[in-house]
Amino acid sequence: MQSRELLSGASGRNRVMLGIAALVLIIIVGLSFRQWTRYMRANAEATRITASVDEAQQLLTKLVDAEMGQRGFLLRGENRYVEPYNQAIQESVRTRTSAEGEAAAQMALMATVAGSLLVLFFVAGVDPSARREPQAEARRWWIQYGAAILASVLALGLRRALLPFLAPTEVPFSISLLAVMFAAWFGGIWPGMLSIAVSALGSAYYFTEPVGSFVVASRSAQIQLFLFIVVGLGVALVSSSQRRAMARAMEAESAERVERQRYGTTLASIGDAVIATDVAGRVTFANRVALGLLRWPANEASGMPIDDVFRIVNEHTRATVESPVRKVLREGAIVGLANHTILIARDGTEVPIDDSAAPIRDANGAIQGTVLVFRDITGRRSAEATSRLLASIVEASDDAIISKDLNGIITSWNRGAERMFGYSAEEIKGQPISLLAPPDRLDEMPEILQRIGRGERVNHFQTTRRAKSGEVIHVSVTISPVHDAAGKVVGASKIVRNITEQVRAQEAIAEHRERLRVTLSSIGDAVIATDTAGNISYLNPVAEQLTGWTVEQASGHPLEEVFRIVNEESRQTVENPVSKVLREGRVVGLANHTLLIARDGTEIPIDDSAAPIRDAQGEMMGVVLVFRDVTERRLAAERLTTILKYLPVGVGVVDIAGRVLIGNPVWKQYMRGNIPAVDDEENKRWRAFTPDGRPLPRNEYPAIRALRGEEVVPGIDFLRKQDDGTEKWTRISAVPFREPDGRISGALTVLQDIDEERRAEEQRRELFAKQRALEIEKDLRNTEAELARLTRALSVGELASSIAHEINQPLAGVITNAEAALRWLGAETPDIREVRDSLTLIIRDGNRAGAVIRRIRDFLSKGGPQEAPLHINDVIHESLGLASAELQSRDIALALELSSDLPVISGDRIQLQQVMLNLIMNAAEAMASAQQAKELRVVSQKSAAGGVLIGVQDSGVGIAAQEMPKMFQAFFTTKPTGMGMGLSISWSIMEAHHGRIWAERNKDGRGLTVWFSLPPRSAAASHPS
Amino acid sequence: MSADPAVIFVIDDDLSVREALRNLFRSVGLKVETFGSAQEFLAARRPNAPGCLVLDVRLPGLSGLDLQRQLVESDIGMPIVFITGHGDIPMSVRAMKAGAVEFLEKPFRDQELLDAVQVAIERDRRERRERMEIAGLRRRYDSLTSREQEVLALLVRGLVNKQIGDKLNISEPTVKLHRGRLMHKMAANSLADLVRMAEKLGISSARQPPPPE
Repeated sequence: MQSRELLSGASGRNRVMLGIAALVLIIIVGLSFRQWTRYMRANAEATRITASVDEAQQLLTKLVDAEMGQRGFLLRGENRYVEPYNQAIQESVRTRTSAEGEAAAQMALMATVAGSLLVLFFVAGVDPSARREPQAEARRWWIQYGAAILASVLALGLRRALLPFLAPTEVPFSISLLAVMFAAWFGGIWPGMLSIAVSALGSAYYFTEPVGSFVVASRSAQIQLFLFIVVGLGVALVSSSQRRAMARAMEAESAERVERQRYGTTLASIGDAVIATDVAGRVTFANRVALGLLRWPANEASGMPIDDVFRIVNEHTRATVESPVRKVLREGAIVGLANHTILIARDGTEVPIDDSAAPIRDANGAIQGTVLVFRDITGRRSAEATSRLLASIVEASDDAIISKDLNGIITSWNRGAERMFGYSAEEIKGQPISLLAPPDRLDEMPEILQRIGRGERVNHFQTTRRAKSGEVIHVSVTISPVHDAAGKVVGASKIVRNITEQVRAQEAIAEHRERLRVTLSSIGDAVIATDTAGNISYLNPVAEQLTGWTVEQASGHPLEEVFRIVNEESRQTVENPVSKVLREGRVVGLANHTLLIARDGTEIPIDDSAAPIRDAQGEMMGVVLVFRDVTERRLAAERLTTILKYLPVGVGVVDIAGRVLIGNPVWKQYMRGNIPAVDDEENKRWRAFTPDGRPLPRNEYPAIRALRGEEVVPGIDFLRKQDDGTEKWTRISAVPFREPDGRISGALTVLQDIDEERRAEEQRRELFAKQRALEIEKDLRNTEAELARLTRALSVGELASSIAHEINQPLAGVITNAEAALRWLGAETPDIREVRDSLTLIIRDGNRAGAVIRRIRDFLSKGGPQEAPLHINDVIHESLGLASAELQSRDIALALELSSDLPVISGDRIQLQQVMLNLIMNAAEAMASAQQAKELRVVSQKSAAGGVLIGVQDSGVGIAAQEMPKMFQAFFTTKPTGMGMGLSISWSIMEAHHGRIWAERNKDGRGLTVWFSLPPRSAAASHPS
Repeated sequence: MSADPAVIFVIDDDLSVREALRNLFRSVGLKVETFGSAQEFLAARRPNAPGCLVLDVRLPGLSGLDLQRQLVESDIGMPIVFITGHGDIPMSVRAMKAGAVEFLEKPFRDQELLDAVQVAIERDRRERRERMEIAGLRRRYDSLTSREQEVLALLVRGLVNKQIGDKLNISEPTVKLHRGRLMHKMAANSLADLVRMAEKLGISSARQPPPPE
């Protein structure tokens, strides 16, 4: 209803106004559409540009890598450094072919240029990581909204100002559309909405019925308000999007402009020459460097054919080389570096160059032109040569040249290092440098790295390092930091010099020097050194002590002042040995009998000598004087002389030839010239013997042996013929004299008179031998006695059964008689007479048995031989008493022919019984197997010597003549069970009694008689037993 | 003890032993004769009376054992008691085998010796008696005729008269005659008595095998 009212109520003006509004609306829509399409186009363009720019940036990054790599290549000459560079070229080609459109074509140009360049970005100082300027910050929101409100208010004001022309309620909203449009354009959609709201409220308040209220009463006003809001929204949308599109387009354009400007700047400022041509090969652009190299002014080059401007020939052949531009245009491909090319500039200057060219293509890939890049490689040539030289120096260096990064990881390793440490470059690269440090030097490493990290240089740092073999090497290390282009420390290069030899030599020198010093200070001799003028330069402590001068006092003084010497006897000043050395230039030996007068006047006997000190050239540098206090030595020598003089033995010294050098008085008594070993005349007096009694050869004489190096102690005994013809025992010992070097220079011989000793010894020995013989004899006798006793026991054993019988008989008699006596007593009338007779018999028989036993006991008694006077017949009877039973049992008849007129003899009863018993038993044995009558005849007679002669004769088998001599030897026996001791013992007993025992074969050829004789008592007593 | 007094002959070379034994035997009332050696003994006249020999084994000249052998050989059946100072087993065995009564070792216990001597004397008596008996029988036997001796021999073999007659080719009555006569001569009371006599005489029936039938 309102709208109808409005329509109906609308006047012509209203229609006009509506028409205007519609027209405005149409215009706005139209404009908006155009803006939209432009926006879309700009947007696409901007996207492309952004993509190209990004690619270009990536490319730049790679180029920087390539540049770095090339630097490395130049430095090292290793191909792997060129790898990033080659990649970068590939990259640029790819980029170019994928790029499209105008901007892309420009970018392709740029990329091509960049790809051909090696240095430029770096040199130009462009930081490829740097981003474009950040976008200006979006407009503040309050400005946007403020502007919206202000615009709305202004529109309301404008409507109000139009009140005179328009009715207050006519066209209440349309004017405000302008405000909405502005607000949306300026602030975007939301400020536009705000503007719609404000305008609607304001218009409703002021310009609709009822005015002064927000109520919109009229239908037409309501329609208008609705339309306003709809149209306002549309306007706001269009305006804001248009604004955004424009902003985007501006932004893209601005970015492109920035890039373009940058590349332009770059091209203009790069170090390499760049020339761009069109498809016809005419120059369209040449940068400053190119113009400089070509010697062309900037304005003239443009439009010139490239072959006129860029003339190149082969370095060696001087033939013109086809311009790479032509080649690119013909082949459509990138032409790489042509080596050994020389550019001939406009003024004829020749410059060695590297060049390359690449096509510039449009979006469709059609070639639009070329870009040629070249550079003056004079510098690089020399740099390359230098770096190769350096590299070969590094390789050839005996010093180890090592580089490492800041973590201490080894990055390069030359041959010197290989030789020094034994690690090959392959095995050590990538290893920590600490591998080389000996355990005690490990803590150095971090410190050095720290210093290097701070950019400091470490010079000639002496330390030790360990080789692969474990050997410790003394080294001098110089370490310098390695900076990258930005001046940042990225590692260290170190030069290691093996100074082991040097260190050792220094140590040796130091040691030598120290030893010398210590030697001089500790040496027992005094040492004074002078210069060539004879002024003192050094005194050792002993010299200080002897002279009474200290080094400080004496230094610089003339020697004569400090070292005053006089002759001991004449008291005359003696010429200073140093002066003599200085004069004669040779060593001056000991001057004897010299007294040193010390500073305090003390006189000291000295030995001195002096020698020149010469330098390596033999030039005399000074003199060294050595002297010593000989007081002690002189005293010692005097003492020795005294000792030798009164020594009771002879002491002499001979030289190597055996000549006597010195000899003390005793020695001279015995030796009247040279030693006998070397003196034939002297030797006649001397005799000595080898252990086996032969004359001792002269080369075994003590002095000779000593000269051979032997110590002949305690010496050899000699017999020396005295002047009176007697001989005297002397003992000569000798020891070698050795020089300090071990050489034998002579011998010391010592001569002792041992005559008395020797003779006493001989006597003693003789006496001893006699005593010994006596002892042995005594022992022998004891042994014999014991043996005799044993053999007696043996014979008793043999006789045992006979003896038992001998005892049994009387024993049986005793018992039987006793029984009988009992029976006599037991009779009815005891017969006392018979009893007494029985007892008498018992007593007789008992005695008889006792006698037998006593006899045996005596015979076996132990005790030693007891000499007593005795009748030999008693002995015979006793022996037979022991043997009778045996003889009887053997059916041997006994015949006794004992003389009653025999002298008393002296002897041991038992031993003589033993002899008898032996002979009787031997005889019995001899007859054991006899077939004829067995008769044993025992004879005793007075001997011719007044003693007794006893014979025991058998009729037995006898003995072979050849065995007779053996009869009395021990262990000789003819009996199968005999021991062979009996006769041997009998022999000994006879000897002890000074008697004799022997055997004879009987004249009738049967049996044997053994005789023994004993001296009469008086004769026996005269011999001690 | 029988009426005829026995005599002990002591032979020992040792005076002590001889005298002691004489003393001992005398003390028990035996007659003793002592000799220093076997020769002395053999040379001496010995009384015909029962007795025994006390003999030392070891004697000078002829030893005790030699004497024993000699005595046995000469059929002097005098019993011997050996005494020895040192006897050994082979010697004693020899002696005993040769018929010694006892072998005593000196010093011996008197009773032992006396017992041995007693036994020896008894044996001597018996043997003497026996010897006398056999001598009588022998005498009687010798008095037989040869025919009678033949008959006797067959009789003791257990043959009857007829058989004897057949054997001797004589008639039975003749046999009877011989038989009666010889029985008388031999003073045999019975055939058994005769057989015993024949045995003593050594006419052993066993030794002559019976004639084949």
